[in-house]
Amino acid sequence: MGVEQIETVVLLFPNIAWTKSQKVAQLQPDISFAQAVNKGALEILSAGFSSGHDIRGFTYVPDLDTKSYCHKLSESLVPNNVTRLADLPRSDFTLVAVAPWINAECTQEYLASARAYPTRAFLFYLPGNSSSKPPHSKSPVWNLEDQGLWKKTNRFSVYAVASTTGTQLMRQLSLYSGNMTQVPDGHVLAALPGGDSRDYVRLYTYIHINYTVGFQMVLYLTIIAGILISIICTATLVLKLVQRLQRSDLQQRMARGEVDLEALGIKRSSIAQLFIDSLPLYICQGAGWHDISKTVPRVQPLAPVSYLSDEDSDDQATGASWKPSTITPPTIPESTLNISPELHCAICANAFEREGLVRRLPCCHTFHAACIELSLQSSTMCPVCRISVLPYDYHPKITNCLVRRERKFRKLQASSARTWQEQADC
Amino acid sequence: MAAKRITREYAEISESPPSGINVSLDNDNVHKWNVVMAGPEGSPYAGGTFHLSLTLPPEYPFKAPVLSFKTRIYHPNVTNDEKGSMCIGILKSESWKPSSKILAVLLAVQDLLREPVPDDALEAQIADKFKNDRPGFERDAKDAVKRWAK
Repeated sequence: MGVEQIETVVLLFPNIAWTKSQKVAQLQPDISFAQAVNKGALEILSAGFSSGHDIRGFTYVPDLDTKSYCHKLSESLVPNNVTRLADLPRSDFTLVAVAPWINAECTQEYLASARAYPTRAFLFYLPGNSSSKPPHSKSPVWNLEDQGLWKKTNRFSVYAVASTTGTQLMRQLSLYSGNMTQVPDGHVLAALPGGDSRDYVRLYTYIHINYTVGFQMVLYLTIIAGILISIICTATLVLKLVQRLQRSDLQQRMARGEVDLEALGIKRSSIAQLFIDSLPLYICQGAGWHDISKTVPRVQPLAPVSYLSDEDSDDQATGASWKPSTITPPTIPESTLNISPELHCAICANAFEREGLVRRLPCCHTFHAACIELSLQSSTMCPVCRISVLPYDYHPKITNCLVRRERKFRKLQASSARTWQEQADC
Repeated sequence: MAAKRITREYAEISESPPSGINVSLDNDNVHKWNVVMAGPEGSPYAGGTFHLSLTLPPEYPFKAPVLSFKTRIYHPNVTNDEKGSMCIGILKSESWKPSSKILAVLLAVQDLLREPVPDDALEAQIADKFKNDRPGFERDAKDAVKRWAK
């Protein structure tokens, strides 16, 4: 929002004292006066109350007390016959004041005078011959030594125009102040259709204000919105990336068996029986099993076996109730499994009997097949070393929630680990 | 399988009981043991006789046994009331393993009598006293032994 242009023209205004006609005519510039000051050549000293419309009004010079010092000072700058309030029709027309900026005191007097009437704007100019743009509104030239109070007191806007512009305006105000016969080209104007010598011919000022949001503003807003969106996008992206890294880290630690899945509420029941079946299954056989002298018993891998109980193991060994192979038989090295026959199953505390079925976990701990199957129904961990028996690539669906839960659990564990370290007997 | 293993463990402990520990079955129920434990020498509980109750769940050894003091005891890790509930690392669900044995649990209780763990206490006041006023704690523990565990 800002002033686009200050335009001053000459209006032919019917004298309502003798005619009912309200027809106001703007005179052609070739037989009158017209002046336009673009926004580049003016300075806004203070913005008044904005009504949302262009500011307009009869151009005039506010009266000063004829006895005042300022009145004397301005005599050389303001011609005697300049348009004053008295030269305008007695009506409630709005006004635009013009005056030279002589000094702080006189400006205050002019402003005070203008405030008494429906003045909508005030144009000031510095006395002189300069045609350049007036000094910046922050310049000390415009200081009225009242800490800017004057800017708040006025209801109207105050503008500064170039010295030559102001001087020219002042000269025209002196030309268009009398009746029609006295104004320039008065005889031409009086001869116009509908014209009358008693009509008013006065300067009228429009201050065109641009209320539309400038293109630059739109550009700035777009840039700011763009920056905000990109910040949000970047933050989201970084967050997603961090979460993804955390998830893959958890997955790797799960694969390494470092995560207590049960503590996280992931139970064995979620794991397919197929996996249990894929654990290496052996049958202990050979005469040397109970023979201490033969420390390395022969152990043969078997195809998956439907398993009933360890009492039935002898039947199993005969192969009477073997199920057809539905999954890949587990593979083991060529060499036999090295289990000392003195070892007991850690679950049932019984020794590994001859011809008994045993399963071996990835951590190399061996149990009776029935025992470990029972154990795996309630726990995913090796009953001896608590290492996860899940396959390397097995992991539950890892969610961000799971990552948080695991982190919280780890913290809890770290604090209790100090306390119970001495009691852990793995 | 549970009963079989418990019977075997009971037999092992009965045959060669660790010093200061005696076990018997409660009404021939293998899932409920009565344990008599002598206060370990060198601890404030020396000279006392403590009765404990050991309950083995049907899911044993996949679930941890439950152990409580029937004799009242002044100890940071045992509630100082009639229940005598206790907090011991090996029995915590996150550290219990099916391969853990009852003998290990009983030995852990003995260790706990020798050296309380004030950082994991059930009785905060006793734990504070243990940490800040060791002689006072030992005096109180001995008094409690005289009163309840003779």
